[in-house]
Amino acid sequence: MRYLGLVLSISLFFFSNNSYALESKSFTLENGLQTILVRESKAPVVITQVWYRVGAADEVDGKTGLAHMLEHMMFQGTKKLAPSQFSKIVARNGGDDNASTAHDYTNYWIKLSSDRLELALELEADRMQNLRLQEVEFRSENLVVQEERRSRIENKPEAKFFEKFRKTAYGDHPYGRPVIGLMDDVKNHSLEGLQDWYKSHYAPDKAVLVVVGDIDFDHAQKLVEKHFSYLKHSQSLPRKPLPKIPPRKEAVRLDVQDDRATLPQYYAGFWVPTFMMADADEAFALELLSAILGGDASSRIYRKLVVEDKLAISAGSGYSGLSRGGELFTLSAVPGSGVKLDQVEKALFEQVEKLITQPISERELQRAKNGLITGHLFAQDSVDRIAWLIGRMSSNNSDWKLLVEEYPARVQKVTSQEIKKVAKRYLQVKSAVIGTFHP
Amino acid sequence: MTRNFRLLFVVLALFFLGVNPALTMAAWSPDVSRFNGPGGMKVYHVESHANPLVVVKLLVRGGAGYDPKDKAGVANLVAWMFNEGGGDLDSAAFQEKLNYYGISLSGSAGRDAMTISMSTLSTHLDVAWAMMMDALLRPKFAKSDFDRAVAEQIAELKQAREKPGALASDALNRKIFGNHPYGQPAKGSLKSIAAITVDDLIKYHDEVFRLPTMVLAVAGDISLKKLKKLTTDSFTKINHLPSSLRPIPFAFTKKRNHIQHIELNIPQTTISLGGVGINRHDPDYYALVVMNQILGGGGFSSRLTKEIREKRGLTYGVYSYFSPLAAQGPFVISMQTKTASVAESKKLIFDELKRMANEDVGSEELADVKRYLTGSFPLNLDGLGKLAGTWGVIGFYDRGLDYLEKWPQRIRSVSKKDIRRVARRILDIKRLHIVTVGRTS
Repeated sequence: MRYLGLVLSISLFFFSNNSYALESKSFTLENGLQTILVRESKAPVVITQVWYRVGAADEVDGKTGLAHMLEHMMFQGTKKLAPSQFSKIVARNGGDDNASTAHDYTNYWIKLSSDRLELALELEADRMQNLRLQEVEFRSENLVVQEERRSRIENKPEAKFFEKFRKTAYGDHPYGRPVIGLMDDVKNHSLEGLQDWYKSHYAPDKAVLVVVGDIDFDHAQKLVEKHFSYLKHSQSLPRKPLPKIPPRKEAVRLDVQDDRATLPQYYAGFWVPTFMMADADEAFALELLSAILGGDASSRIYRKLVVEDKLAISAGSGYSGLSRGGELFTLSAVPGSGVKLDQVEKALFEQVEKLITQPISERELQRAKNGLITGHLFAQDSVDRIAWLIGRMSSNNSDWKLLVEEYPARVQKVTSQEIKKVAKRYLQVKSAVIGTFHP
Repeated sequence: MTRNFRLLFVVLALFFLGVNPALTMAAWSPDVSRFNGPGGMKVYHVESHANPLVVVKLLVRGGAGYDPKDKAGVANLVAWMFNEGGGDLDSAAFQEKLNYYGISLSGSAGRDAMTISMSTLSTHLDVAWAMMMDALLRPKFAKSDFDRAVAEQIAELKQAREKPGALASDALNRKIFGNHPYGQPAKGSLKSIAAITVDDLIKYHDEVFRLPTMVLAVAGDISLKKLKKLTTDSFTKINHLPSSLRPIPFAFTKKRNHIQHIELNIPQTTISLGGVGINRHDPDYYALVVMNQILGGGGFSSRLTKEIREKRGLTYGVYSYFSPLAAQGPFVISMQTKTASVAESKKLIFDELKRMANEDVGSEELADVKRYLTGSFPLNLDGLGKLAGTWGVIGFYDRGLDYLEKWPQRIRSVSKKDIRRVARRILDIKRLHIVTVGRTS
């Protein structure tokens, strides 16, 4: 069924207005655990992903990095399992595992041979409610996280700049905090703080379970029920909504000089909506806007700034559309030698202006659409990616089908008028956050 | 933020070796066909109609190991420019057409091989194939595009100077290999790049893209019949004559090791140790795969991770890896830790190296690692890119068609004695070079 659907959408590649379907099954256990199963049998593998609806955005000032610290501790033992055994058991069974934390979510995955699905489910169910937080492991893992912060941020001038840029862009909004946490906060995490966090946010009704791979639905559902249905519904309140980001009345600028920096860099960010917000139409238009403006070597910004005018060594735009409370659409450039940062700024905004005022050709629009749709179809080649999109959307209570099955048809529908409209609405100098970084 | 990094190059290195762990019960891998194309080129085909996609990998002897002396970076620039025009289309028109059809086409220069990667929807396979052939047979190499490529490479090299990991691996590589071709920086230096001209690229392209050492691996929605026709019709036009590139000479271990410190004002020091490892045909290959996995392989179960990360919290990540190339590639151990913990960390690494060489590994430890290596086999073959990449490497290094099938048995037959032998050979502390990048104190 899936194959036929895909072929159909391809044969109509340039004009299609259709969609395809994955073989999927969704259900919710009585304790509130939302589960999505997808059968994808081209290889005898399976991935399980557990998405908790909690992340760095749910932290408070002074305790930044708590969500991420707990993510580390989730591998450090349960009532049944000795510390650090989790990954060893997975490895002994030929599997890989890891986890990640972001502002919106905390995600855990295990990938292994599909005949070992039960092991993965058993391990995930166990640590959803039976985690045993202990001082010795916490002390050592806390040092690991401090080293992680040094590796990711403090050793890298560019990363330190981005941390400041984020703060400038979001101010006191939760998105302004670093996910890994500020160093002082990381050093001050306590076992009690982690215990509270775990109790309030880790429960079946606060998670989404996604299983993608070579599975049989009935069998997989029985296994999920067997291992997860004894877990208790949480006692805590539902997740708080994110505060609104107030519209910016004038541009904000951040300039960072760093002796360790080697190249000047320019960034302009604009707060925009995403696929997870009410109006997904705008998100589709924004994704195409980014593709046309600065998505690849044929895009307007790259052609003009890098190839034709040689103002920049690299230049482009960025938009992912995957964030609960909006995100920054970015324009960026590394100026060529002898070119000033304000020259690239002017050239970047000229391209925005041109896009709003002059026509987008049919060919250019279709090229951007084809690129997005092809990229989307290649993502279907990986069970990891399918599971990730489903979990990412579902953990925000958004319909995953929008970014999986309906995606090609929705991209095809976008008109150049809609693209101009979002460019005009969101990409204005007066509402930009501009960051410059240089030696 | 993730709990542990999975360094991209470690993953790539795995594929480069074809370290494809196999399933315990029965080795699973999709059927492969192999046939000879024009001029003796080897072709591998894995058919899968699960998705309407095709992935192509083309490998040929070349890459940074063959850069002319004093012109390190030529192979990398040839690879960079592979999609910058071909046939009747200049760079702009060529890129536009690729993007319009959603075709991805690019080159990359390894140490031993140039690899061309192409992926496309199967409906556009003919267009994609023709463009790949145009780039191979009639590349443009326009001066203005060359200048742009050089400018980008120079910027990248400058930026590498702020990255402790890049500084350490570059310095360590020079220590390990000295004047051997693997000792040159794969992307060149500011000085070597300045010496390169468009003519160097044109000459290199002509010399490298020859049929006798070519390996083509294709996976996805394409029949064997169709692949045979495409290959026969198009590759016939490629130069049949052998190139003048000879196999890379043996790399020998230096008599004594070198210690180097690069001062950088950062709170965390990168510690990298390394020496000459093994080549792709070394009988100790399987023993080294197992030994490396126990010592510092991927995941969270290695001895180095246990001692340095788990027990003491001294690092976010410590790992070891090796690259068995055409000649002896490097064996490397690397980690990052705060300035004050450098001495302690170095001692812990040395202790583990000595233990590996002087004591047998535990029976359970050995059994667990073998289970991981053999059991995770299908995880490394579960996509078209992984399949084409793996078969391309197997073909390039002349491993047999039964390579994947026999892999699990060969891993299982590694003994404790084999591991000690290979540890004594590779982990000789007196011969491992050490580079640190960070503050002295």
